[in-house]
Amino acid sequence: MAAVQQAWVEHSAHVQPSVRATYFGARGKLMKDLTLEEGALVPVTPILRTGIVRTSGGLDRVEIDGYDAIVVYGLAFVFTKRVHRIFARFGTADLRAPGVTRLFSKACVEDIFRANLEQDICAKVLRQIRSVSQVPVLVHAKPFPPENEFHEYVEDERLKSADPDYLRQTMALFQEVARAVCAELDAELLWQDESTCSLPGYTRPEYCLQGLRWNPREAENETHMNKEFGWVVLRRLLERLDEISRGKVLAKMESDTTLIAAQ
Amino acid sequence: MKSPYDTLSPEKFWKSGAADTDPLTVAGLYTKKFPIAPQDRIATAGSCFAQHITRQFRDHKFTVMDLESPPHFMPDDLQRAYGFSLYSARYGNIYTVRHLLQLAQDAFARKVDASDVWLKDGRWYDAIRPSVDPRGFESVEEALANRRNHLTKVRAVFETMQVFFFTLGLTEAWTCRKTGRVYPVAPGIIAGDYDPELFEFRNFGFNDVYDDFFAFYRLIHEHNPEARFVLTVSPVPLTATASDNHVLVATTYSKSVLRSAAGALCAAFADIDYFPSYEIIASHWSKSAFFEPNMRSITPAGVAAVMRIFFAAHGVQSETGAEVATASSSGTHSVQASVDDLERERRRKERKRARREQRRSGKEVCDDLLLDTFAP
Repeated sequence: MAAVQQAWVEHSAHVQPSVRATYFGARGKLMKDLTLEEGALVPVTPILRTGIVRTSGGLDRVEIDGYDAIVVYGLAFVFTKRVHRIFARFGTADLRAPGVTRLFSKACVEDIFRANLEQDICAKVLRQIRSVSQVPVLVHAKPFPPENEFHEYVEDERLKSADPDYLRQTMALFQEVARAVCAELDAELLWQDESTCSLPGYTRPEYCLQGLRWNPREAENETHMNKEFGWVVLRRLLERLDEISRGKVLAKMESDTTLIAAQ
Repeated sequence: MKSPYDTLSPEKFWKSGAADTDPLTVAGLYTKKFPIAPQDRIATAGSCFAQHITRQFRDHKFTVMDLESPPHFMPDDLQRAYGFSLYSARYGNIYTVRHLLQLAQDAFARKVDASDVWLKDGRWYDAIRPSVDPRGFESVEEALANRRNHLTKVRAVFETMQVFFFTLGLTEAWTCRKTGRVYPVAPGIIAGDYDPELFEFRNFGFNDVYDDFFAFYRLIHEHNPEARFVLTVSPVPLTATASDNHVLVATTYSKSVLRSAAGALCAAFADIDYFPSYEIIASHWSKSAFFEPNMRSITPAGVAAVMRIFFAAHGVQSETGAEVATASSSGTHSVQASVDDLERERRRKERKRARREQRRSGKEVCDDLLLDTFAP
């Protein structure tokens, strides 16, 4: 999220001056402690509140109907490891890695993905928003893990030797279900731009160098993306918001946008 | 004057063996034919009551085979819905011995029959286990590929199991007139359409059940000579009957046939044992205490009581810590501790355990319960 915010600062010329963004950020797992209170998302733990206040410039609650659109960024749906672990042992009738001897139906794997997605923090936040508001919501998936983690994530030799097309298809199956889950909550899911991916489900290593963090005291690691990545994401979000608002984001019309952040 | 009853032990008489005993503490009810050790590879199958038995085996650290274990990240309720973790493979409930025989024949012959795929709302269902993929398959090919794959696992179960624990459930079944294939549920219940020209009702008799199991037994021994068998009869009544009889009469017929066939098989073969779960739960002796209010489902306490007797016979103390039934292999009647406070404590723990079990395991998956939806 810090990468997106940095891109917002550096590329403000692309956005109408009247468009404002408020960021509410904290570590993704902490976001489970958001609760709904009188139409606002409110942190219930001190550590989450600290993050929200720091990133939003002093606000300690997200007044849902106070914004023209909400972007849920970075909370959602990075199941690369889960997808790989499932497909290391199982395949479908037309999607199976070499050496995998067990089959399940496509409906079965879809239901597994769905059950996990519906338990995701992102789905919880979306349900909270939808219980009080019909504000347009964009969901941008959390960045995929760095490509060099591929061999750590893929624990099974059968998958390591699988061709990228197989990995792409397994991820596509997952992404299709995630998109449907979001759609059922009246939210639009945007996946990480393919230009930032090499192997399916992994981020190109150059986007993981000099990753930005909200809290500079956090140790540097490759799970945080850099400002170049942030700009790819932001550009995509702005373009979509501009379409939804019929030209009010990139055109000269007033609009408020809030970004809910989690890294 | 002498009579052949003079020297019989107390459990041979109704008064001392049943009327004056508590179903929870009775001894001498089951005499094992052969030992089953926790490390023996046990395969389970049968009607929905067999799911309880499978869970009990697992809870007591017996080695229940599962060659189709669930994928990672699959929640428990979804596992059950997709037939994972219920038995030793994803064959779903096997209510009739004819179905069991057919499964083994298919597995060893690697036989997959395209006519066993039924349609519903544009999706395709494996008619031999229609509830195991509750949303069906995208195509006939996907259904057949999954069935083919399933049969390889079933074959492996049958080839490597050391003990096969089978619960006989029903005598009633629906079959294909043309092929003779038998289905666990009638067409039109989960998928497919009922056409009397294509399908017929069968209510198997003693000879059918006996012969089918004997054929199964021989087939298994061709591939796995060391396999031993334990039969039991499900105490769960029929949800509905397609026979001309009242459902109560049909239930009695069905259970009587199964019970007598199981008894005859047990008497004929040294490696077939019979375990009396039916008697413990369904006879008037237990005063229906182990049935839920619908007089059909079995309470967790009932299942626990049944299996405690089984485990005690095999030298495994139940989790309650009270070995209340110690039926020995010699069949001698054992006098049980009857101290009141011990019994109260045991029952308290039993209730607690039953509640825990109910929360944890949820309801068993019973295809035939769907028949209830057709009731007036």
